[in-house]
Amino acid sequence: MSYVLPFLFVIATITTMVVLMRRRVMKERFTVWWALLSVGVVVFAVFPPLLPFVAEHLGFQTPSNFVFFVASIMLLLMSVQFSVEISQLEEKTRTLAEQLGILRAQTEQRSGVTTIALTPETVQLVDTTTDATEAEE
Amino acid sequence: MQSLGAPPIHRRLIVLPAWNEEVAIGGCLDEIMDVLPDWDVVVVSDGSTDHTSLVARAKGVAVIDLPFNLGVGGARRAGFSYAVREGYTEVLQIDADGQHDPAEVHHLVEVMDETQADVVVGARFAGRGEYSVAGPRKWAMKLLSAVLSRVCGTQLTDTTSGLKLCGPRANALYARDYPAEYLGDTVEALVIAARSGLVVRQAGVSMRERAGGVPSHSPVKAAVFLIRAMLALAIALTRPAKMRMQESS
Repeated sequence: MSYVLPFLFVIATITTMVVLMRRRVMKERFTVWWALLSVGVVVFAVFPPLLPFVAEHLGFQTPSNFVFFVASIMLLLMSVQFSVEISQLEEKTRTLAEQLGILRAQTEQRSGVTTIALTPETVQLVDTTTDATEAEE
Repeated sequence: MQSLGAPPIHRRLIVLPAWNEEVAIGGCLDEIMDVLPDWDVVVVSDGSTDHTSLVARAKGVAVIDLPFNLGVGGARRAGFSYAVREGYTEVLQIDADGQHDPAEVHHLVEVMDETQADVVVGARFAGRGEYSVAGPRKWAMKLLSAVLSRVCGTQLTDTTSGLKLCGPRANALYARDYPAEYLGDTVEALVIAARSGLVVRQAGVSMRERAGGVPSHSPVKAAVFLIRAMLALAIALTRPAKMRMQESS
């Protein structure tokens, strides 16, 4: 009876992942972690004596410590992955901003038509959703 | 990069990154256009929220309006990218804060002509001009010069200088790969150049005090500068070497 909970958790996780992927709001590479986690939970739920066995042989005093350890390592790795992804996105945004500025300058020179300069008075005419971000020094 | 075969009319470009410099930029542009009439000028307005872009346009120079603030590294890289796309061969990076005197630029051009260097750094502490720093900031700069002189195989006394003249090979490299982090745009850019097989030299120039305020002398800030400089240097030096530039000549 006590093993119903892990299975419910796994079913909920997998359903959520599939729904998110079907709606294209999450890429597959982010679901890998949750898939791994689900597999692990299923394995330990099917063979209940496995968890204390593994924990003891890895030198953990209690099985719950082993579970917490694995969980925190996984969360750590996921946040590292997020940091990397965010940095890459920032680099792409940066490149796009540079190329956009260059393109606008070139268009102005070639066409002779001057677009509106970015000033406090005209800034609302330009489609930017960012508020003035503070630069690093 | 000249895909349409249009011959470049102008070959030399001054890149002036400016972030909310409406007070200084007008005078700075007047001086540059007066002293260096053969150079084209592009102002990179780095997400300015004042009238920088308007003032620069009124002077009749090209303006790249970045949609938001990218930091000085991003602005400089946009300048290199623009130069490469427009077929410029020499690019001069200069600061809009009045610290760099356009009348000193000919020293850089002479050094580039003499040594066939790809990057010429305009350096204080190289004989010309008087400019003093002290304390931890001075040690940091000394250490940076010592290490970067070895990496670049030449004597460099002012590695954080923003006044730089770059040739075609350096422009192509920097248009693709220019660090955006603090101190990356000066320190790491030199490491990237040396690692890519470019020739780095320096030219002594005299610099003026900045138009906007005096540089900070707070020991805490100087210590932070030292730590960040070391970090930037360590990361730049341990990074795997990028592809070398092909010998184009």
